[in-house]
Amino acid sequence: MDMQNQGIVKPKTQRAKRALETKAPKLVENTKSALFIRGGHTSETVTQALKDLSVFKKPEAVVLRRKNILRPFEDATSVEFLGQKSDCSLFVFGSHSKKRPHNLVIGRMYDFHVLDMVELGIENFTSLSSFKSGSCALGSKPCLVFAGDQFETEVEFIRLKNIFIDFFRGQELKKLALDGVDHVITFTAAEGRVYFRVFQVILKKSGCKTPRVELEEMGPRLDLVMRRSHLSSDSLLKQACKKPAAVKPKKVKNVSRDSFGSKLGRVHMKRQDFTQLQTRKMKGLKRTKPHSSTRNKDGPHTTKRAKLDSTASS
Amino acid sequence: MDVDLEAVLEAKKAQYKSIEVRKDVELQYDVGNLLATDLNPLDHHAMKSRRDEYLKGLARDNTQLLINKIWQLPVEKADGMILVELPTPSTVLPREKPIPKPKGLTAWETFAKAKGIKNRKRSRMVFDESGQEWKPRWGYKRVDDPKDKWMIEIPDRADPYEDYFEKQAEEKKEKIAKNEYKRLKNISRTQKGGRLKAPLPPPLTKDMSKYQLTHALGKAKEATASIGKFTKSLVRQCSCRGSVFVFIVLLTQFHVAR
Repeated sequence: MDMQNQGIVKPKTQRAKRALETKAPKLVENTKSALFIRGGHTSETVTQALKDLSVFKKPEAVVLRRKNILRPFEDATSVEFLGQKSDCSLFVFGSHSKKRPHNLVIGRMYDFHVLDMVELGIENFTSLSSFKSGSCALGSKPCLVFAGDQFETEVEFIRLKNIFIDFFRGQELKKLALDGVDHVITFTAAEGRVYFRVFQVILKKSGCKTPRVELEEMGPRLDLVMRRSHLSSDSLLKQACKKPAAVKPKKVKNVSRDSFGSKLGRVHMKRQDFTQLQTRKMKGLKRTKPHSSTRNKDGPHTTKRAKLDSTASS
Repeated sequence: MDVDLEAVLEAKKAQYKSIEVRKDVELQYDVGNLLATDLNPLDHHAMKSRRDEYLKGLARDNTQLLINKIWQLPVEKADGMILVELPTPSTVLPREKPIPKPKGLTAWETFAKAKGIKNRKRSRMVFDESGQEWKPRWGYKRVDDPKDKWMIEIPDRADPYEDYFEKQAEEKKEKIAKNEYKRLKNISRTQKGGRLKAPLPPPLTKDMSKYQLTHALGKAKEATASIGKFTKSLVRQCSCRGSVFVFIVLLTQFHVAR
């Protein structure tokens, strides 16, 4: 039963309501989960590779136990359906056949429709269990290192780099504990092959604040060769990469800082009539009637005293 | 004195291995994703002859540079842990689901907005005069629970043989159906095209389970202009608990009650 029409079926329990809310499209999304699928025929290399890769995706990994007879490159709808049911937008499909031995199809989806899919063949594989030394905490954020100019020049490799970052980066963190930097995943591209290596990061004293890095290989070790690929059009990718306007950081205008660090801003005033300006009243500056000594006594503007004299005399 | 200090520091530094790495081309960093990209050309000879050693050395150098960058970030201490504030990731990655569209306002919300009616919060407990105690307004042991109504006073002119308890129950069912109808109407108004998008039944295959087949049968029965009222049902179909079916039933009930 497809619950695509959100709101029509109202959930009857709080748990169901919360489950729907986590799966609903959001402004700030959840960490992408990955689906690990086994194909109709799988070799031991492929099954072990899938298991080992899922370790680096846990807890955002869903490993399907049963074999699924699917051909992602021919019909992607089955993969899309599985992704929708388990709410995973990343997937790795492993299979083995004479034509494509030890095959891994790594892909991602947008709105549960396949966005990109790249087929990689495993040439050399050393499992996680073969490496006795080196380990990392489950769920810690890995450091990612890409080397090789193919990752910048060839279209397929550029997209593959993007897919790898999307797949392995883990949770988006605002704050990172310096103790939590414990493993690094390196991808080296040379001659159409990608060398996947994982190392445990050991931080040693270096005499200064920044530590000296020593690496211990912890596996798995995969040599991948690029086979087929099904990449989305640039327009679809652009649409998928769009950021919602609400999440964009708001630009603060009219705030600047001078060389002393003081915050400055411009105040814009309306036009003012400076003649009608209300200022402080200074009694001394008050405009008074002109003094008698400066004027003619016999004139019409004579002082009071002068008037009394005239009445008294008459 | 200064010379002595320097010598001491130099001696100390010599004890430890250097954290400096020389590269021809600077690495590109996306510290928000703990990502470093090395654009320097690889040593192909080394790749062929001693690949693993070379890759490990390359990884160590690049990781050292990345760690140097991380350690330069502003540090804060919390709960005995040293945390750094990561900048926002610069790599453009696609979303997994489309950006959610802002929900439309319901009929009541548009009316309230126009009139300026504000939502007032109601208290959970209400004082019950008959019991002289505080009871919740809704939920378990609420104030006007129909379970507590064991007696209904019938006015003089009313029919004494009518079942008023049943009538009350019917009225409640009608209210629920009406509410559901209005809720669906609100949804249909806000959705694209203004019409409810009925989910298409999945194409029939031989691998389908009994439940899926009966569900598909039910949907097929309703796919007529009269919403399956005149379609003869096959061997007793189990009632599908599908959303559209329930809606239609409630809608018809509501209309009949009217």
